[in-house]
Amino acid sequence: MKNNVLSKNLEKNINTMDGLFEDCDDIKSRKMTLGNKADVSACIYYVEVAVNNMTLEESVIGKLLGRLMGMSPDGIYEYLDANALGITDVNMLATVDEAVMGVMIGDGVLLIDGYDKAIKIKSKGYPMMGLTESKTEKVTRGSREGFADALKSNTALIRKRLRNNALKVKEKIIGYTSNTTVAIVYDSELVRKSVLDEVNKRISALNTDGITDTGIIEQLTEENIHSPFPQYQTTERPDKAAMEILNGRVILFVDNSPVALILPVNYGSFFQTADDYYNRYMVASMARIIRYLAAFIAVTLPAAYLAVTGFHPEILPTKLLISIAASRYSVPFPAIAEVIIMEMAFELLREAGVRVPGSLGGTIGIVGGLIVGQAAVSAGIVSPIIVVIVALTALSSFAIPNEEMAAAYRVLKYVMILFAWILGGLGIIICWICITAHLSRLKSFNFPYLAPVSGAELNDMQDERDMLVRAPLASLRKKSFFVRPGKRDGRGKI
Amino acid sequence: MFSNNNQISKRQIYRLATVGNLGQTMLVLPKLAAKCGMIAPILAGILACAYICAMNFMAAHVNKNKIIMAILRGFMSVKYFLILIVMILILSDIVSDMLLPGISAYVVCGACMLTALYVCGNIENISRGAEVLYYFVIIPVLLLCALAVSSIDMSFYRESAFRIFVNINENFKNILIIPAVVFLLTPAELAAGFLIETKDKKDMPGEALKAAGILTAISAVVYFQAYGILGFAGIRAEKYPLIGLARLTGLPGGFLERQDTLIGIFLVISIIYNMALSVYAISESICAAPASACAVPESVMSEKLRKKLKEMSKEKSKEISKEKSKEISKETIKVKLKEKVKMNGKMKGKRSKLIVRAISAAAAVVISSAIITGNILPDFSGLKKSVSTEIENRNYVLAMGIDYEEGKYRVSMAFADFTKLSGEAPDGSANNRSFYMGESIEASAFSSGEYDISREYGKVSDKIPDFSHVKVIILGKNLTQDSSMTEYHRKNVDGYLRAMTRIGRNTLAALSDKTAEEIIKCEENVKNGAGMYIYSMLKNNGYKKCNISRLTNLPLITIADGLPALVKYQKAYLKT
Repeated sequence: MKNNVLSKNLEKNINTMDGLFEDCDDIKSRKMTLGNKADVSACIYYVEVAVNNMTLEESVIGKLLGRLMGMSPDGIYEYLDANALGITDVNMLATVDEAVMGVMIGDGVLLIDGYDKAIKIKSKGYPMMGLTESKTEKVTRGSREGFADALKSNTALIRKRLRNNALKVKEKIIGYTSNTTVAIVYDSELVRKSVLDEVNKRISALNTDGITDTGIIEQLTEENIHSPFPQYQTTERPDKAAMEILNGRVILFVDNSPVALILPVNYGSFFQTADDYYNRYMVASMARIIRYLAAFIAVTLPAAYLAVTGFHPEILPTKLLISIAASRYSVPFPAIAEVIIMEMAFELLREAGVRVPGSLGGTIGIVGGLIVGQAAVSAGIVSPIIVVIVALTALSSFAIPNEEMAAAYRVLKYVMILFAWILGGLGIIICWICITAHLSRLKSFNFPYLAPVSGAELNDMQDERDMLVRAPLASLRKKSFFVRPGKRDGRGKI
Repeated sequence: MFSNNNQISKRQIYRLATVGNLGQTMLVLPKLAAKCGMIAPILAGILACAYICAMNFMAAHVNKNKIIMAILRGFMSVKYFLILIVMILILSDIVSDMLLPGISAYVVCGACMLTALYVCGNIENISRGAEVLYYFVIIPVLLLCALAVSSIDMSFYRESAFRIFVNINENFKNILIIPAVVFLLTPAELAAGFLIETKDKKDMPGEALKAAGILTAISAVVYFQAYGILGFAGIRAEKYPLIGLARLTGLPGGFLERQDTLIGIFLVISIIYNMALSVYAISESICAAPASACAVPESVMSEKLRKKLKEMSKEKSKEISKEKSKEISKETIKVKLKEKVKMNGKMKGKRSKLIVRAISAAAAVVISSAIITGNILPDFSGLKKSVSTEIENRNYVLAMGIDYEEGKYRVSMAFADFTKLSGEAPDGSANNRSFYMGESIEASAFSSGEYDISREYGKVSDKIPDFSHVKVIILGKNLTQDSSMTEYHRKNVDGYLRAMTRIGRNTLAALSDKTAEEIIKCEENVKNGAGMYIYSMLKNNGYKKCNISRLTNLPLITIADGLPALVKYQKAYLKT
């Protein structure tokens, strides 16, 4: 953005501003005529939602415009120079930069023909918009705002955090019947052109009657439709979405859906949360390691139990082995049946917990976890150790920050159980090799899913610093590998 | 940056070479080569580097010679086919020996072959997977090396000195195995760029040399430790010295009882990846040929292509002036013709590669599926016993006693008593589990290992004996009474315990001034069982290193007040 001074020529100013706000569909401009003879052209720029039409009429902006309507051209200039309204909510801006920034912070910016200053008129800014905290992505530290159903509110929440005209919001209408608005949000300086072109291509190619949620777009546009692994990341948090835009990624919003899609993705991005960057690096790194460990446990633990007890008991410490063997004495079922029974019971509880009305969900958990588990052990249907195994597996699955990734591992867990039952530890290793091979084939908008751990030309080890652990922010000198080449250096990771 | 162009980076070739070779470097090379001394891995490393350099030289200088290239590609096909066979043999051996004793090797190899085929997409996919699994393969081996340090007997190095580097007592023909192994196991062709398209070929051999150097260093460390821990005799007796080390080395804190299975499982990753790499290399070396070699002569060019080229030349000629059009169109035809021919050749090469890979994949899938189905279905229908045994259906031997009476050995066993250890109510077979001994066991035990004991035990119990948790081996007084027979007994006992691969090599051993059977009988007076009692007693009194791997300097145990008791440290008993 050049630090250029505003001109007296309104058309020139409008051209400059329109150029800067190109592809920013959330920023509106309203042309009007002022003066008693309606011979003074003017144009006001504002962020939709932050300064909506109703506010324009009723707020300071409305009052100011109302006053200017009845004046002669010279009177308008004198009036503005003298700040005759006498309120602090109106400021004069001399440069385009200031005018752009005025719009970005949620105020209205008025440009008047023949007047070489822009008038920044304070509005209510970005309102709270009745937003509630995201229930699926809770953090210990960070913003409490979550996305709402309204697309306009959601894009405004991003704009509120990234006050730069490089943030683009492109809206498209999709669905023959539903005519749903889909917004593509990105930073034009950071996003790779190939990614943006591919997103536009895929969205434009959608051939559907209606889009009622981002999930439909996700399934219709993903590359490998048979993979259990998610190929889009989802979020309900504006701060997370804003951060990902700074990482050169694209956010997709669908009207009437509070869930935003983030693309492209890599495996590691599903294990990162917004507060990873708010907490100290050691705390964040510890949390990340626990999450990766949780994913491993969530998919492997029941299978490992079967493999170790059935094929490789030599691994277990003797006392633990004898304790497990003794606890299985009264159980009539083989270990595989025991595992399947308890895992299915847990799936039932989870499904029931989601479907029942709010407060009953917790009750279902207690009933299931304590009463059913205890009763099953007392009745000799299962051994106590399997209750521990299933509980640990369930806990681990909930520790994965992304529900779609957790669901993928829940499905794969059963495959691994089957293999471990047949081939023991070898079966588990075969499963993991297949999972790794599958992940190595997955791509998200031409980015390897396993990047940066695996990816050609990523030899500087900068990206690995923000993968399994998170290095201190000050040492993250390069931006993410999603960012356009040539823009990675110089500004730090975030 | 991330284009799908079948090219891989320097880091990827390094990790691919490491993952692809670590398993067999650790498993195959030691068996024969390690007997020659430290010179073996060093020589292997030097030869590997020389081989990489030679292949790289050839890649740079003979790549335009069709005949030499054809010979080289034939050589690679044979070599990788051999590697594939060797990998399958190692896999079936290590699985039947350690991971899943009793399971059909066909099932295992079939399952692993299918996995390898799934892994084998293009080289980018293989190397991406290898990059991730690199950590899973190398970290356990390095961890094991670190843990094994505490088990080293430093006196061995002092006594053996020069023999560690070059074992002059060994037959030097063994050293011939090294070039063969290096030849078999070094995928230098990858590094040389014969089979992989690389952006910067100059750096590739460097990365491969780095991988060879690291593998040499790791294997040198493993051998050096193996000499200090297992000794020359131990290495000679171990099929896989690395697994032998793992069987001997415990994890601090007792989190895991044994780790040899885990190490074996992790090395299987390397073997499966090498299988995938071999399948890829075979299909590449059979089908891929340099662009010049792929060129299709005009005589066999398709009619469609010829017409298209003519049309192109006509269009071009219209645009240019009539005078020049004849010359230019001729030149254009030639250039375009060459380009198209080249493209056509490349396309045909790619197509045939895909066809070969598809046919081999389909054949492997059909054969493997048939084998797996044929072997697993009977398990489900109850026709065949599954190798998996429920944890409660095993009787865990915690202490074993060996006696020698009337010209025969006798083995006594003390089992884990769940009633005493976990407080559970005993079931019908609890009384039978206290110990077991009998004339028939001893005779068969020394003939073919634990399975005979298992069979004999199965006749009198509803469970199978499990020797994976033996805590202590007691040697009866009769084994040491006759000094002229001591060495004979030591060899027999050592051979017997080695044959029982389920027994950890770090199992403690003790002598008794009574028969071992009498010590084992104390089981009835000890709360946690004789095995656990004697194990704790020895461990707490500083005899943690008196284990069956050496059978020397064993403590002496007697019976006092009906309980096993430590008498004294009997030095240099049962010398090696």
